[in-house]
Amino acid sequence: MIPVLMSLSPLVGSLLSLFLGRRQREICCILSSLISLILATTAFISVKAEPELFLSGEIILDGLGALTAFLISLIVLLASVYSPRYMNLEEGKHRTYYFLLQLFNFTMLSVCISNNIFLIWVFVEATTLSSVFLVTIRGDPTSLEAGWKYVLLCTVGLSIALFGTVMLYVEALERVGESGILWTELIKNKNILNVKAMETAVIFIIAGYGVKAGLFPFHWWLPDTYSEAPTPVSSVLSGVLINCSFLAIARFYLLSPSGVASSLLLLLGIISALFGSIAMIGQANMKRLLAYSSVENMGIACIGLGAGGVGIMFSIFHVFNHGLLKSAAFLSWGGVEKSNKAEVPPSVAFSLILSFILLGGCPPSGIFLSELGVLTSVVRNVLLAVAYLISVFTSFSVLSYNAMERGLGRPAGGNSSPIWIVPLISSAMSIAIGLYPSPLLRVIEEFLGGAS
Amino acid sequence: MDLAFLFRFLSSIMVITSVAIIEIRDLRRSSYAYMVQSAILSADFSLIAMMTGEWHMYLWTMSSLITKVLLVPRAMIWAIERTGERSEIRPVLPLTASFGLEGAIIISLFLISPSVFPLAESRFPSSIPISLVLFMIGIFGMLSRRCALKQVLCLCHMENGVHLFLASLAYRSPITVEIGILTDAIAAIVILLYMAIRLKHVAGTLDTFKLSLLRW
Repeated sequence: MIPVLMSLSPLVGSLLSLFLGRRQREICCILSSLISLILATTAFISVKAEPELFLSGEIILDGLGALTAFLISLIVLLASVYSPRYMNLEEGKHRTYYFLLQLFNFTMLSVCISNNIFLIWVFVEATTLSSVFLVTIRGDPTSLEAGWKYVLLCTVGLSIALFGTVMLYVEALERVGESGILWTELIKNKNILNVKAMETAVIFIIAGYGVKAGLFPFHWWLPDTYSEAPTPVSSVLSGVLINCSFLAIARFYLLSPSGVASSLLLLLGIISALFGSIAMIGQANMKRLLAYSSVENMGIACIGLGAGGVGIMFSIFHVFNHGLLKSAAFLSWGGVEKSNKAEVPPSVAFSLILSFILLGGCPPSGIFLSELGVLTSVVRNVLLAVAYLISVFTSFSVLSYNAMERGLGRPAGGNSSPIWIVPLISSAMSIAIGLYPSPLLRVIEEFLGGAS
Repeated sequence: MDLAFLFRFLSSIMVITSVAIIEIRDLRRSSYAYMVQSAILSADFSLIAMMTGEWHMYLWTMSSLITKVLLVPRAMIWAIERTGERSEIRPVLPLTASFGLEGAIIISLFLISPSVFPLAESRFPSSIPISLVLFMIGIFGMLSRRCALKQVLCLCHMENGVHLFLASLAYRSPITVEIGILTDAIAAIVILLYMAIRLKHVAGTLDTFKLSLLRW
């Protein structure tokens, strides 16, 4: 029952926080995300090649879900430690903020452990609805505009995904029977399902969840939302929310991992990667720049997924690394926002430069490995490989240039708030993963072995 | 009368109401058109229940009567009153062009949907093109209208299409799933209406084309 407890503990925390005082509420938020992190770590360690099912198959614990759940609870824990130091909200907003942060955590963790294809949809939609008031917590015109675009675009996108899910279910009902509503049953019987029907359904699903993952034609909500949300919320949105939709895309793509769906992923991926990296050039607002970098990185992940073979493994690995470092980059940029405009404390500059350079794909980080892995899967197609390299190098140079300019371009000094330590935790973790990637890669490989 | 014929007849009337929802400029009347469409949708649900003998479709009829026929139009009118926005802001397209495009969407979807959707074994084949029409006209409305409240109405309209699709193809799905999907849809609409009211109060306009504080 570990996965159920893991996802319920933030729900309990969020409900409890409604009845607590200011200080206790912050502690309650940290405690409930700590408990879910401990449970997620236990789940991750105990995960086997064969997925474990609970509650008559509705709840699943497998490699992909456990990996994403671990990342989600870690990033939310960092954000809840960071938030009290970062901003001082008035009482009403304070209550809303901590209530919704844990509710958001609950919905994201539930996406990871859902095995029912409709429940995956329900919880992905719930992540949008629970996070929109976190984006608009300031309540000024720009944040409302961002929130409006966010809900409208994501809801429209998810309706498309619901269309696809229904088509998938109808096909499964025909060939597998009532149990075809469960993803594990679908993946077991994917060879007896009608190929054409599956492809149509998976295309709808990729297009739908792709809106939420920030893929190219529908990425417009991403920079607005990330730049207007408070920095800890942006770190959660960019670090793990898009991982949830990527998890949905990956799960459904594995049902029909070839043909039109794979070409669609390659196309969307390469356009997103190129567009994201080019839009980063000349972006003065750091949070918008990081948002475009998310578009680029999701593009890279989709290229890996579409290329197939070893690319699928590295794209899941890439999304994990990207989540760690993107949240580190947002949190370290929050440190710069907090410091005096004219001066940057050396500690803050250190964490900023470290996280930005690692995010760009500098060797000790996990992103370097995963980008290299995706490259090996596309290298046979020269045109694709060249476009891929252009986007990777552009993103690296823009990120490192901006880190140097923001971190070193101003005189050192000013007193730093201790929050600069928080992003260092995930940066350090990413370096550790870059040096010893084998435990993680083994989990992903076992998951893919079970799914194929 | 033959139930299957009645089902087809009611579903085709939904197409007419959908054009009405998009084209009527007065927001209040447009919400009433939505109410009519939702009532027809609920009738369709109960027809599906009668024809298939799935008792939980009656529950779905009840829940869609309560939420889509009563609550959502009421919430729309509440938002119209709170924002004082009686009539829609002039849309991008003139009326004739808009009608022409809608006609093109309807005809082309009826023509292509049998070949694109290999779901011919369905018991309600007529509802597939109709739900697609509702969905696509909703998207068209959302792109071509400037008024935020009208866009919310277009979203509700799209969701009617998705729910018709869901009910006529996946009527055997468990009740918990249907409750989850309906709750999410209603919550999204309420949140959007609330944000539209906030937008009107804070930014002073509901014209989404003027929402350009954030570009690049």
